[in-house]
Amino acid sequence: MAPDEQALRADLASARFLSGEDRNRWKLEELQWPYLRVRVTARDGRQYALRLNCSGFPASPPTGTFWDSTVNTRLAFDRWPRGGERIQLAFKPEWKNGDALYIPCDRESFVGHDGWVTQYPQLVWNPAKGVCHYLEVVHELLQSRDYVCAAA
Amino acid sequence: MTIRVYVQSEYLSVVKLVEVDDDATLHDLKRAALELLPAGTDVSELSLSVEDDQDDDEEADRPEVTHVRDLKKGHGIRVHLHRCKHVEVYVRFANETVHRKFRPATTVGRVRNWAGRKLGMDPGDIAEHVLQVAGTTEQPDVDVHIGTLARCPQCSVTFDLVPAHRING
Repeated sequence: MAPDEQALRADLASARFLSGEDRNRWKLEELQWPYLRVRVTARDGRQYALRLNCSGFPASPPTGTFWDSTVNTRLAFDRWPRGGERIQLAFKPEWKNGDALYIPCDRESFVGHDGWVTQYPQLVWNPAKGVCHYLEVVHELLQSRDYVCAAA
Repeated sequence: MTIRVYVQSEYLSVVKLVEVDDDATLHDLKRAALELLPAGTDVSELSLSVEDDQDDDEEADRPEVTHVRDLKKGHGIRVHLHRCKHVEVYVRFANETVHRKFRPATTVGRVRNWAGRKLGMDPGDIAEHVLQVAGTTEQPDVDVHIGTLARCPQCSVTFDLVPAHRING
């Protein structure tokens, strides 16, 4: 097994990840290397699946987007989380054709945003926090007042 | 049957996990938790406190608990090992500072909610703010115990309540 896959599997067994599961913040759906699928819980109880490409983990951040696990494809844009400014800024389908979330801990979105290191030091990928870092950022947004809900 | 116990401490930088038997005593639990600490840690003055979802009032009467099963909750048991019984918490916002003592096992999320209420915010506004350790850019996750952020003998921590980020540009 490659070191990055080994590191991710160890991270998924860590206290931090399991604690988040036990608090119902997220739930592991599947790991099919290099893709990890995790459901993240929103304020209204809905769960949004994320599919993250974790190659190079943990030195390299994950990158990914909302996923429709039933048909194994990116979640249709009209079913993405909706809400106010914070949600619209982070979850915007027009960014990277919807293949990456616009958050500083996303590998693809970070490219070309060197200023984020000083602007959002807490949100830039921290390998020591592992995949939970990405999940915590998304979970916090889905729990915010700005989150409304996806279209029915 | 075993129960997951999540352990935080002033001596641990990250949360640790140990599993104990359902019928273990709190003494057993503490012994198992202590084994997670770095080798050579002086454990003689460490107290075990339990994260409590219901009430963080340090003066509140708590029912006598002797066994782990009595602590069992849907999301696992969460405990803290610290030399201080309480941590002095200061939260600064605008030109105001609010202050009170919390048990080390109190989460950053609960402190944020308390501070927000104390500062007159409504729940929606509170959710749009985060606690940042004063003088740093560190914004601990809501599940972090405040004891993790306060080493004995200072046993205090000061936060700034700051707006949650909007990712612009």
